[in-house]
Amino acid sequence: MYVKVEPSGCCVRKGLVQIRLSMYLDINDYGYAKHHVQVPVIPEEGYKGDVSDLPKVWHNNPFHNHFIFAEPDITDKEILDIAEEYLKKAFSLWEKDQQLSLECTPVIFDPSPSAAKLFACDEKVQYLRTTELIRLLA
Amino acid sequence: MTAIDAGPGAIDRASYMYEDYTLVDYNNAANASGYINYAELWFVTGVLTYTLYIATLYWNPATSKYGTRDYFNIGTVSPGSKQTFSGFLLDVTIGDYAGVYYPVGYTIEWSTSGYSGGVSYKYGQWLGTGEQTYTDAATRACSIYYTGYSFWANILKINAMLCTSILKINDVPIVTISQVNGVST
Repeated sequence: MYVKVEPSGCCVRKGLVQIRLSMYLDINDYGYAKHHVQVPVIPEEGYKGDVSDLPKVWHNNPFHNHFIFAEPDITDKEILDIAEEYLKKAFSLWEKDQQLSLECTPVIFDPSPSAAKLFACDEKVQYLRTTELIRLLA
Repeated sequence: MTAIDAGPGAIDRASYMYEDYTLVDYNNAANASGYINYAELWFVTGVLTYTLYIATLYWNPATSKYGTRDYFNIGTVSPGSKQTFSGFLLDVTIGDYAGVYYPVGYTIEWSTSGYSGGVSYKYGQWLGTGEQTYTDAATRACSIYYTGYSFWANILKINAMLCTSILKINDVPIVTISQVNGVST
């Protein structure tokens, strides 16, 4: 199994960097088939016909997604260490068929962050959106 | 601590609802006030470049409109299986409904009958834009389901901070506190 930072779920939220962690199963992991699915291919401009008419491709979907919130100076290693811990927790619940409602990490949101803080957060988000961060777990 | 849920369930349904709608599913209103911290969604199709929002919404009987209680950017959502999300906090008040905005390229799993409630829908993204009039589709359901909890029954925020963001008050762990300034938690 593995976990990676999903760029589309990264943004600035209340003075912190919002980071989405998407967790995937490998073929030998429990429940792999539940998220290895065929999905219709939708044109970028959208589609309003019968979706059953569309061609399909196999897709390995995340088995879970989790959000963390961090200061903009968080390092790649710190993000991936946190991600690995959440991956272990999520898979532990997944293999027992339990709901994957992982607890939030308590954080202090800043209701009125400074311009410098917002700039730093925005720069971090741009970095996360253009950098592949992934951690494989044996 | 009370468990909260809202929405009819994120399941593989017989039909689907087309792209670019804000939906309010009023089949299962939130049973308590507190926070949503877990979401399940199931889409038939999706274009993995456009982002979605999940939301809690309230009904204003005086204006017959829905307003957004809170909403959260979850990024893209993979279609074809139940997708689950945790680690966020959405404000929810008892009686609120689960909602979602999904953009162009997404179609959501949809039931056309069999539900005692229904789904209200409006074309486009309307979350966080004030109270809005939606079109009603009775007996329908869409595949969203949110859960959470009521942290304290009587106090949601202290000095404008969510209680779930506070670890200690005056060095006392928040989970052990039964009163704050004479108010029972």
